Amino acid sequence: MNAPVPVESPVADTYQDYFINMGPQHPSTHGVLRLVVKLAGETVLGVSPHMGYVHRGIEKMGEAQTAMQFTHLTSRLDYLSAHMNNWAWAMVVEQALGVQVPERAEYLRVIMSELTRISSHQLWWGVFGMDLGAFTPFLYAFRDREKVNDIFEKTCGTRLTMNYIVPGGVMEDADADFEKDTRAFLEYFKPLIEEYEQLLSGNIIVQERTKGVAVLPPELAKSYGVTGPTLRASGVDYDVRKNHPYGVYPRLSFQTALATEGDSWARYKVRLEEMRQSIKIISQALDQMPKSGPVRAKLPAVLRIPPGRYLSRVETARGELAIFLVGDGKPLPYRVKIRSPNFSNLSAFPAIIKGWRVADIVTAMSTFDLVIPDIDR
Amino acid sequence: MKEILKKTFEGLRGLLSGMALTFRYLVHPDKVITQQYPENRAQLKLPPRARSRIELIKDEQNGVYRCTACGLCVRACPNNSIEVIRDRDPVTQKAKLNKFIYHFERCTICGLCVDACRSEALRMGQQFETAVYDSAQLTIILNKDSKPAGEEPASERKTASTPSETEAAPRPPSVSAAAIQPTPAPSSPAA
Amino acid sequence: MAVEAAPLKQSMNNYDTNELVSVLTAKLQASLPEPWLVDAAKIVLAAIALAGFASVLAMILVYVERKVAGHFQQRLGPMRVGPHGIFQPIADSLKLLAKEEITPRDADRLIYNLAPLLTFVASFVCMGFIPFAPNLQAVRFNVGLLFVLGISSMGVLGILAAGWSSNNKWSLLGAMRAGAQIISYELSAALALLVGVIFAGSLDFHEIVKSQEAGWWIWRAPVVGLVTFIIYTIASTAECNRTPFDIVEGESELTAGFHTEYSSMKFAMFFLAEFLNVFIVSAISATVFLGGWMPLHIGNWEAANRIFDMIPAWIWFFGKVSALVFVVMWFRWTFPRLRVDQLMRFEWKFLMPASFATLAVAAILAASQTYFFAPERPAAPPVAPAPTKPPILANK
Repeated sequence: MNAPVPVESPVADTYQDYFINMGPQHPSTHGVLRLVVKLAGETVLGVSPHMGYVHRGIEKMGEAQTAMQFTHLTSRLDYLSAHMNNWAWAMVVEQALGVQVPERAEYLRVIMSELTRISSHQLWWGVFGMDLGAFTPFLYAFRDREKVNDIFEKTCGTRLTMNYIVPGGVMEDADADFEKDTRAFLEYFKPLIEEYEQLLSGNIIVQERTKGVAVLPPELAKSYGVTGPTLRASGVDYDVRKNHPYGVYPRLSFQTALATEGDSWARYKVRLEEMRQSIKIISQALDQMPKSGPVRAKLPAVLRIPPGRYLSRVETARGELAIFLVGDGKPLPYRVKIRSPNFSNLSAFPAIIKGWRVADIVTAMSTFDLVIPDIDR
Repeated sequence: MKEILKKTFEGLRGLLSGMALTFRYLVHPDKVITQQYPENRAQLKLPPRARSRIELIKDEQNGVYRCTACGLCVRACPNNSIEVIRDRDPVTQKAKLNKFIYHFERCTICGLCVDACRSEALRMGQQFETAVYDSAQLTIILNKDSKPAGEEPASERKTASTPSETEAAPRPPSVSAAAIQPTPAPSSPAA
Repeated sequence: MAVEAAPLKQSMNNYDTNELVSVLTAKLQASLPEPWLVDAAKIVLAAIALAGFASVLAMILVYVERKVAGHFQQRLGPMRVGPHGIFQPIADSLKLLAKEEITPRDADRLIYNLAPLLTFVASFVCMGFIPFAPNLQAVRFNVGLLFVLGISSMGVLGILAAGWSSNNKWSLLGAMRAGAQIISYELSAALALLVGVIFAGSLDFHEIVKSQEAGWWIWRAPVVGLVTFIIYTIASTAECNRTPFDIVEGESELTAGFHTEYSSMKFAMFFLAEFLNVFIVSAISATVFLGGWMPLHIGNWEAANRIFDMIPAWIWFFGKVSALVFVVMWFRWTFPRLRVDQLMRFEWKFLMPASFATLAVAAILAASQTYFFAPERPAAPPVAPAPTKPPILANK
């Protein structure tokens, strides 16, 4: 029942085209992104994203910050996956310096990353409901997210830009209540995913608005470099945690959430499923984690990055984040290049939204789950 | 026709079940999660590791700041939020702290300064109500004996995170000695 | 217009406002020279009373909406202005009054200023027809329902005017959607109300309420009553531009749709009109389907019925309307919104055929008088007995 209006059809021709600005300030562009939309009536003929409103020059700043100092900037890329960004940077520095990370630190890294993934997907779910017009899921999602934030605050000290995963391990050992709190959270949250399903997934209005809308074909997705749940909803089984494993992921068993249709509904279901898988990963990691031990390898006071090129990739909540580091023997890097998952995801967006309606722009962008500071860096 | 009826009933059932969920929260007012801030300041206890504006730690015995003006924190800070002005003792040539200037408007509360300090002289404070009306008040001299310039004295502030409270129980420095011991086999400190 | 109907049961007249009205009329007649001045004065007084009532009502509804929204969302809503935020609407009104009136530079001035007035007037006039109690109805009109349906359609004119004159593409989008949506859903709403008219046999609100003495139409008409009530609830939610049909305002897409460019009092009028609309459609729904000010009578439970009769009619009325308004708010805070083409498809391909079908079944039911509870009308006046012939004497 959901089909795009063919843009060459006579219906579209009878209207005059006009441009509308979903401007940098908009309730639903998830950040400061300007979309210039060409419309014929209510049908979208084309979308042109204009980004750069949040450009802070993070990559350039990387050339003036030492390895330890750059960590706090990576937190601010895709701030909803802060731990994973920190991990990417820590990995690339450890690769450059040849540092081995203690085992307990690796497990803590995994647990923190998966908690961040859950927290990010919770926020995405709430905002998805809000973009569709249901205001209540937003508050339910934030209620649950507070529990994750409390866990973070007890161990890492802050709730959003944690700066906890540093080159060498983690900043300090987990709080005494960490394991108890995390297990309590997993117990608390697992039935709530079913509540989320009851509120939004079971709703016929949500289904009608997302099934069949803005289909992303797998070949198109691969050619644009889309990664993350957006790609896995189109049927392509690519997850950095499985394809290029890092940390202790090889020791943890979980399933990749996959769907084949590639429409907004598939992207929605894939993210809900990822939350369930993250719960599994965290409980395994908690079971396998060594109960005590060092959490930080000793690094020299001045970290000189040996000449060479180093690459690390992690799976953030939105896709594959890769950091490419070029060192030349000095403490400051020669070049830091960040491959941002949201940038590639956004680039696929204009191709799939033709023929749909204004309301679908908002819905589809919401299922792409973009964080604009990551696009602009 | 059967399809339409089936879809109607399925749709209605989904809608009603969603309504039942919100209704359940409506009739359970005990599940409300709103906190009435600022009236609940007395109950508002931040976890010990919660980070905010940094503070200098005084030695308990002699009430002197532990800071030796070595400047490691200045070098560790990513964006020059700390300035250390030192005096040199003319006799022993040892450095002594004159002023510890903290530019709070630049600080990102990353904690690297506390991490770098070797004399355990810095800690992350817990005072989160740090908004001011005049940006000059954000440049703080931390080794003034009581409070930063321009702020009301602590005795008039009834917050859970008054400096006096946090100073009473000095928080252990963030990097414990145990954490940076060389690990038995795997670790190999970089050249 | 002599209306032939059974006399009301005595209990209905317990809280009769006829006396008040006749006393007032007498006073006015005593003080004013011309009879037409008396009528004019009565009209003005009624208008003032209704305006005051409408304002108070809107304030109460704003407060209730915020509190209800808060509790659905596990939070508290307004708590600071007065105990539990009771004076929040006053603060809101003061804020709206004090705001700066910004008019966009190239806006079409006349229409820009006229639009909120159109919408507000369309809603406000309908207030006069609602029967709050047996004799508490500002205008008693024999085609009251038809008139209300007609006047409330004028509201869409205000929305279209607002969207066009704001000189803003987003507002125009919202207004165009509104035009399509409202005129489509009026059909279903009118058809659903027509079912009630068929059952009651009159377009007059007063008569419609009186016809529900034996039982409210929602359960008195087998199945059709409930189905029609549901259809009317859906259609009227769409009429008021409330979620799940609020693409017109579409806060996530259009920020505020047709009233984006309005500030201060003009926005307040749109706001007021929206809440009045919610009240009016709930009132009409309560009148036609839930018996208006008729108390609940359960079969032969005389004791219970007497107790129900003791509760004043206007309390019954406001209770029913409040329940319906609560349901409309419940929808808003639970459901996402429909896309515009889905909304139109829902109406034209699903809701309207359903309304026609219910209308047909209702016509059959009405013609055959197949209702659940027999009307408690007093027995027909006894036919005058035929003159009895004296018995034929056997041996005359």
